[in-house]
Amino acid sequence: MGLLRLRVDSRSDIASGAPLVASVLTEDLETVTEVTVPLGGMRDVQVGPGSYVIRAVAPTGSALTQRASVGPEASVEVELGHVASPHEWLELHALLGEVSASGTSDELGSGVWLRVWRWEADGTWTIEPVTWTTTWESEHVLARAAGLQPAQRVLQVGGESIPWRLLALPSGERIEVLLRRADGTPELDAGVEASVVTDRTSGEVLHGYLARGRTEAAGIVAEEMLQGSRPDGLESPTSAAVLGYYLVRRGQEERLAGLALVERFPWLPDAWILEGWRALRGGDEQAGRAHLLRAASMGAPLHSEGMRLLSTGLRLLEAASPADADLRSATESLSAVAAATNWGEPLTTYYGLDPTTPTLAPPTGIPDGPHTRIGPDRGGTPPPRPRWGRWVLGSAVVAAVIVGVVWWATRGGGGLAIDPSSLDYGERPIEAAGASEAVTLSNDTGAEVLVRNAKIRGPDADDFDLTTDTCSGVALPDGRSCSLVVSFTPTEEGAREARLVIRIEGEGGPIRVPLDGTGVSGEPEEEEGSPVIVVDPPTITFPADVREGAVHELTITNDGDAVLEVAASVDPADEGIALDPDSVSACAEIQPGDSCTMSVLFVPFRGSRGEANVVIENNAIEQPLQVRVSGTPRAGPTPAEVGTTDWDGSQANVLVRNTGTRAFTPAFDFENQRFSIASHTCGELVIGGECAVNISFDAEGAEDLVGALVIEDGSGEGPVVVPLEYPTPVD
Amino acid sequence: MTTLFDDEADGPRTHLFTMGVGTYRHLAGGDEPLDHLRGVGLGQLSSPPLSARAVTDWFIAEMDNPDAPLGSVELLLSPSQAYDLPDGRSVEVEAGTIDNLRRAFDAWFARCDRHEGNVAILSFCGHGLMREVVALLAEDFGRSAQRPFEASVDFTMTFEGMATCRARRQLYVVDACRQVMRSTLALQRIDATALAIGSFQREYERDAPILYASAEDDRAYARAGHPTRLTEALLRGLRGLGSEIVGGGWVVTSRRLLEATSDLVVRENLPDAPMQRPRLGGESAGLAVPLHRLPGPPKVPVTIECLPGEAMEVAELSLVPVRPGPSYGRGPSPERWTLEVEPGDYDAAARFSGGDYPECRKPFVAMPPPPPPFPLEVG
Repeated sequence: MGLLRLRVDSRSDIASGAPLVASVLTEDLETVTEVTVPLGGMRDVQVGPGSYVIRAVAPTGSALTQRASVGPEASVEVELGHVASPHEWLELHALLGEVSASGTSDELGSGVWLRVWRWEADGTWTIEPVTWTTTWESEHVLARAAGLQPAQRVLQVGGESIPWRLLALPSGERIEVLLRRADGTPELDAGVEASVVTDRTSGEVLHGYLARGRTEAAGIVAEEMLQGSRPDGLESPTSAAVLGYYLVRRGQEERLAGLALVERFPWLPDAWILEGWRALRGGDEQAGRAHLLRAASMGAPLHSEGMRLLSTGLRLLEAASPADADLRSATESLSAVAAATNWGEPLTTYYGLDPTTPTLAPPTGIPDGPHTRIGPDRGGTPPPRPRWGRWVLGSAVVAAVIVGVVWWATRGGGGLAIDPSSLDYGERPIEAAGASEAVTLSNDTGAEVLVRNAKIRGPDADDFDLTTDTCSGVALPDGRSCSLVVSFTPTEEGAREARLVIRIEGEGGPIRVPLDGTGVSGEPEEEEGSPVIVVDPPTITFPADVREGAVHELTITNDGDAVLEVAASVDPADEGIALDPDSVSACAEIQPGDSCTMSVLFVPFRGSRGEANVVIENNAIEQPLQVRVSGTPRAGPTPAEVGTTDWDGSQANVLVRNTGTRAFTPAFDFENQRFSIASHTCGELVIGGECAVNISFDAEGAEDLVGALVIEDGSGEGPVVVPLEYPTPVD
Repeated sequence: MTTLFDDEADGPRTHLFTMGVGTYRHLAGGDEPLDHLRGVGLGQLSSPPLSARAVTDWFIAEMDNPDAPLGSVELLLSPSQAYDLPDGRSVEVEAGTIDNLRRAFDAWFARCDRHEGNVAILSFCGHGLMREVVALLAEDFGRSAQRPFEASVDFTMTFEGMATCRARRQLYVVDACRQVMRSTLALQRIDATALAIGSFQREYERDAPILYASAEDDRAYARAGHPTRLTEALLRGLRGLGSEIVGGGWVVTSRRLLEATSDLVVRENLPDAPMQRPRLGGESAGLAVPLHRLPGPPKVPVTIECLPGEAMEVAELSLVPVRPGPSYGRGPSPERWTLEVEPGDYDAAARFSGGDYPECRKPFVAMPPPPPPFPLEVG
């Protein structure tokens, strides 16, 4: 026999150990054997001499393929590669096909609180004192508690603006809770995801294979768990319960006995649910009824699947015994929890005041009772903050800048503001390396404005150079800013003057920023040089079809002759746009003439607007640089067409949905003006948002019954056109 | 009920029950809208009857299963409409009201119960809701303000009840949303109609997967005036992409069909469609239940791309089988390379005559279900 040593790379600790199912195939693609390979680990497979194709398939369907030839008594190592993901913290999600993380931890802040409820033997819930330690990372906060005795617990999470929710906790000695900005149900969870972290990757992968219909792969993972060959197979109550539910799904309840769930985890409702189903399928209705009622009295099961099975079991029993008051009471209590449950979560999650008071209208704010705030000022280590003050003071060249906001163009809201309104570079030696200063253009008009261009004009324009421009050609949303950096290198002695001219689409005259400096001969005033910052590209636009995340590079170059110090952040932090913290750290100091690249991550989520600024604070200029990052709006897919059967009298409806990665406000027009809009609900559409357009048709005397609704979405890819056809009158 | 045909045979047969409910008389836009349903956010649909017809058409015209030939077809459509059979008969199909659903289900159940070798297939397309149960809404949903769910099917309990049916091979397709109600109906107990009486006892061991068009608390989609995304994917699966080699021939099997349909729907989410995530449920050991015999190997759609994407503009791509067979090639183009190939083991390669990037060659297996875009990393 020969030996195939199969290996799959892992880029992250979170996904490490997760079992990936690999098939060893003959050259004719007939299956020889199927095994699991742990991510980041190796699996040995004995095979006869010959040539093989090895193919590992993730729950998503992504496959890693290699070929290998094995001789007798030979060993061949097969490197299958790694699971593709845009960033390492997405790896496990990329494997499972459920990418939901987005944004950074900044918004989680001090407003978030936690508390743990424990189910007592007398059937009541009490708040358990728990000491949390928190670790802040750029994109999430990890809260840990340890030293706990096994028990049934739920975690309650809330915040200043975060609806209170309860999560069933896998019981163990320790609890780890991951909080992050995420996709989900924004109207219920305010875009904050709370998930309980365990070493349960086998259970998660088993669930992932099952959910995506890969039942054979699920069976291989499950069998290995049942045989105890996976380290987290049966020890973890979470994975053991998932395995139990798998056996029920396969109709193999008799194998549940081998898991000994109620003996090992008597505090776990899921154990009693599974034991109840085993008894009922085995014909012992009385024991099954008792076990299910016991589970119902213990609070929410750990898994949503358990909630469904408990409900189904109780209802089946109730159908057979409609007069059974205990069953009726249990199903009604469970129904109330079910109504407040987020069924999209694999672990039971519901909204409520406390474990016994589920509600669809959960409160927000800070509770009166015991709770633990997890802000960075309460025991955690905050993420690195920009060292802004030190850089300003440490700047070698400090221009005399008149700070103020003097230019306003009123346009509905506050207006457009330029800050500062002029730049004075003071005295600079002739031909000395350029001193740089920035102006920030801010839009507070209440609407988006288009910045056409920015140029330097005036008698000494050649002495001034626009080194960075994140404004030109940019549609600047309300509330956002962009930056213009101008350097000054006098070519002659004496006063030098020019102006920065910024043209705005639809505005009358341009904005003018006076630029002044003085060239002097002789030695430079400063012994030290000065850094000059240049960013490329000036703006970043992600395409409309980003679903599981995308990465864009932002290059920062130091064109000066002193070290450039840089820190960067994203504002606002809850739009699914984030910076790779490692790349930001790598750019902290840039030597003269060098460049550095930061990675901008984008994971758009439903309900967000898909636009933010990367704010680059630095010691070259006094104001931070603003680099706009945004997605691409896209309308659709509305009905591909409104045919003759879609009309209700003279009216038909079109649903407009934002399927892009940036918010937009649709505008409408018609080909054939007999069609018109009777009413619509379309304002700004956030990502995933939708609105309805009610179209009417003036049929009187009409001969041309065909037209089209033209929807402008501002994507730059042309409008979306929905063909319309009014039915031919039958009379 | 509308039985399109029933061969009344005793041997193993495939019995199909398809429902496509697009009109809801008491919801917004219906003929008789009711006040107590205002605010539930549900209206009229154009796709379900088209989807149900398309599925029925395929089974009647194309299905070839020597293990269990088509034995009967039960169909309900809202709005009610005529269905033309291949023999020239035109049948007026009844609407999908709850009363018609009950009668049609009973007839279908009885036929499925004739033989343990039967394959029972139930497919519903229309509005769906979920909480602790999945409710499928009939045309007259909400007819009673006191019992709003009376005219809907408690699919969860019905599925349990089907465990008492003798047909050992069952397949369910729920082509509907599974959003959780957070509207005015949220606090109501879901007393939907169970079409079969459930039992914990398992007189017959069954393989009974359920393909849900949507994830929990999520939606399913369609283009107005077309079959749903799930139906379009299901039909592609039935026509070959849900097949595997069984006994030396290519056969569409239940497990590969559901896997392929789910993958195809997810794949079609890109680039500009709302995200739809099908899910598998039910009771299944993942058996390869034969549904349809193919005349030959299916063509497998594959997509090859270079990473980074700019490399596509100068890449010469090739797909060469390891065993003798057709080879494929393509010159530089900014678009990803999408083609259909014979199932097999290939070498996928990108070459750059200008030397812009290093050559990249990787093994690639093309077999159903269609693989996701295959990246050649050259940068």
